[in-house]
Amino acid sequence: MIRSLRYVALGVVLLSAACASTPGSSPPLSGAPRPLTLTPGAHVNIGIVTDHPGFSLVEQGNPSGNDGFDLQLADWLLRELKIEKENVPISLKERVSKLRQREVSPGGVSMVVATFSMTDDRRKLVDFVGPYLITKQGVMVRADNSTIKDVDDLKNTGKNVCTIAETTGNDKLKKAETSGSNIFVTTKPSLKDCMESLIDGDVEAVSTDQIVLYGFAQSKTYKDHVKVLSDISFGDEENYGIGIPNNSHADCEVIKEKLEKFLNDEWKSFFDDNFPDIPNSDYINYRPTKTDECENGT
Amino acid sequence: MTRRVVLRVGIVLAIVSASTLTMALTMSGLEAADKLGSVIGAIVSTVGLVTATFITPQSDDGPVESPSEREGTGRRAEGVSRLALQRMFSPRELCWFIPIFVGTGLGGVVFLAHYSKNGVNEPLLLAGLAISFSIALFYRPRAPRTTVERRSLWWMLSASAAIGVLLASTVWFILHKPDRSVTGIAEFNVKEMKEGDSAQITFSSPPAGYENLALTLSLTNLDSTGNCVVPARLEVTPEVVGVPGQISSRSSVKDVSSGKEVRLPVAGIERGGHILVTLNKVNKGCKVKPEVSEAVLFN
Repeated sequence: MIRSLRYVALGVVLLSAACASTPGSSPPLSGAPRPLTLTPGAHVNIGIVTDHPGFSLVEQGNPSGNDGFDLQLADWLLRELKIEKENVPISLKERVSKLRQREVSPGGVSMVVATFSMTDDRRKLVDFVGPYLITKQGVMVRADNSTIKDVDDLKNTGKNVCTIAETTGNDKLKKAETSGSNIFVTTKPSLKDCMESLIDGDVEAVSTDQIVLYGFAQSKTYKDHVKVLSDISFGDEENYGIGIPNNSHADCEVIKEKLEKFLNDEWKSFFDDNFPDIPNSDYINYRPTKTDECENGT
Repeated sequence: MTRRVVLRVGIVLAIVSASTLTMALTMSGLEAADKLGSVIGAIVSTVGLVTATFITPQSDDGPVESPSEREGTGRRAEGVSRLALQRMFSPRELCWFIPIFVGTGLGGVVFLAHYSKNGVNEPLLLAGLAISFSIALFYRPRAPRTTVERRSLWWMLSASAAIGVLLASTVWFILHKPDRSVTGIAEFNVKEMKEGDSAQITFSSPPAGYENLALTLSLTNLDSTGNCVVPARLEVTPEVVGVPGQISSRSSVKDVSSGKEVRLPVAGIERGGHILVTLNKVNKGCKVKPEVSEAVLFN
């Protein structure tokens, strides 16, 4: 009987220990957390766009011509983390799907630095580290246009406005279009397509994040043809963040620490280098004061 | 005579334990997880009791005895019984049951407290439980040789376990009071909030008899764009009423983010108090819907 007692006691102790290992006050995680991958010496694929002057411009066959805030940030970050990287060109539309693709098949990316607005909807699918830049929605017109002076001119006079598919700017304009505003929204796959439509006269304005428009307006290709209406900005704040796969809390904490260092030490010089046409006193409108907490299992 | 007393005490304890647990489970309004923990605890102790109650000499003894052998055995058994019980009640062997009783009591509290919001230190209790059972195992009496010795041992063991379970149930359900979920009766008085807005959480039937509230608030972005929920902070203040119409306590202001639990002192809130919630640090242009994800009263 003593042997039986021994087993009973052992069973009770093990059962108690097993039950106690999951305290009731801890909320359950919605997915298994990913382990830390951004360790020194690791290799990551970074999703970037290649046609955003000011943020990420890649010239085929001329690596020295590669430039932009996002590219410089990615280089600085990976250098700080002592990580090897390969830039993978993606479109704006692919930013979420490429991060999620990594979970099921090769060909995805482990990080996206591409004017990626942090939104609560996107947070359900991917994690964000940031913000590293803040902007609002802006408007660009042809250089000779003098009919659009404020938001009402845009919304109430039947203007045709171009924006990019699968972006927050598109969501905002579509909402305005369906909520009674007299505005027509044309959606294109990339901002370059919208710029061509604007110059050709197919649309009367282009609307997306104001800082992105400044990047295009200052590029050699468009400088003499378009202008950003600096007095027109609307909608919620857009917070640009670095996208990483969902449930990557450990990687998020590592990037967040470096990003806070970036905001304090490097941000201003990177901004001035890439957006020289924005008045020096306006930089404060684009600079975040702190980064968000890393998500924990959502 | 002594055996009969032990038998009666054991039966009474078993019935009292089972009744207490059943009554407590029925009346406590526990969550499913709490009930599961309690039921496991009850099953563990009940199995021990039932095994002890129905174990028979035949089941452990060797070959079947003839009638004459049985008569002789009966007389011998009476003498052995007295000796055995004297042996069982020797100070060293009586002490052996103390860790059994302590361990069962601690285990019962751990099971009952496992999914609750209270401040019971489970690792400490489990360490106590492990130490108790280890002491019981290492300092056990020598293996009983006769049926009477074996049965006496089982009875003492059952009585110890039953007292332990009874004590745990009494501590938890009567002295401590189990957690009470009030999620359904705690509601915001507004449908949406923006930066700097304040709102109240009121209780449709004010809770009484509890000192603390574990509250989890969640925000939902009302738009498809905007980075609203993660940066937002909620300043939570229980406003407890001392005398009717007069707020007497605003001392416990807690700052929390959406989806994180905050624990607040709410003693006296049944006299008309409420929880004041202020939304801070949410990005410009954001509108969010506040909700009470979970509200659990505990002591």
